[in-house]
Amino acid sequence: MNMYVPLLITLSYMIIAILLGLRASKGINMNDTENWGVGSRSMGPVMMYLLIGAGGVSAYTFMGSPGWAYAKGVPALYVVVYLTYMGIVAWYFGPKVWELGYKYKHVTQPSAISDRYESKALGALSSIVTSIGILAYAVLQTTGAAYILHVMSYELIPKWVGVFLSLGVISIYLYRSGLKAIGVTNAFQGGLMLVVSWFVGLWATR
Amino acid sequence: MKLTCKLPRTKKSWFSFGLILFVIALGNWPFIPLFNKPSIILGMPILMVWSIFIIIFTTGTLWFVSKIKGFS
Repeated sequence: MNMYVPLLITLSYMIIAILLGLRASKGINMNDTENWGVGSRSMGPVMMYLLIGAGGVSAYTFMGSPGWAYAKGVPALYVVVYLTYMGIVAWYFGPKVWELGYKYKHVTQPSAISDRYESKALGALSSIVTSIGILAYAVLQTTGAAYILHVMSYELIPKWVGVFLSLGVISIYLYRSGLKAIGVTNAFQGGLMLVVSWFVGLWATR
Repeated sequence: MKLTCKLPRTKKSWFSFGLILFVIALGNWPFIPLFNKPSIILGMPILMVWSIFIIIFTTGTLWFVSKIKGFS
């Protein structure tokens, strides 16, 4: 029975994520595109810190890069450096993009691009590229999550069920609470990773 | 719309710009090969220690540059 403890923890995490995601829309009119799509343009610094941190850490960081580190050794740690440098880009461009978005009521990336470069064609092109890119990224993430569930359940949960489970969880809270749900669940994930990585790190050096 | 490259104008801006470039250089050649060695510091590979230093230094630099508002 003990062998299923990691799976129970993972499933509990998914349930907590749904509950937090559903609660994120409390008191906010989610029928408004601005509220649903860009989280009412209001997220605090701590939330943003955890959001960016957890956003940078994906299935690739959990499985791809440790595998790479195992195969290639310590140089794979450059991941830490380039994730840090992503922060410089966000620090420089983030406030400018936010101000423009606030002023011109942008809700999507293509609308911001078409306004900034005064080209609807460029906006359309960016929407196609972003859609394909995000689709590929979503497939990568859900495949990673399904693989984790498959391994944690000792192959009890087939990978295709894992894909439906992880996509289902995300769909429920995303449909209901939009970007606010992403913010809250990512902050939860970020906080958890911060605590667990310190705990595991200190425990491992005992 | 004119797409031009805006260079820093004041001394503070140039200092901030240089500081950011220096932070980026710390994570690239010729600095990284200096730390890409099989030695351990505080139980971690020296490259990991250097990466953590870069995280702290980058955060500090961004805070400092925001504070003096030189990079805009």
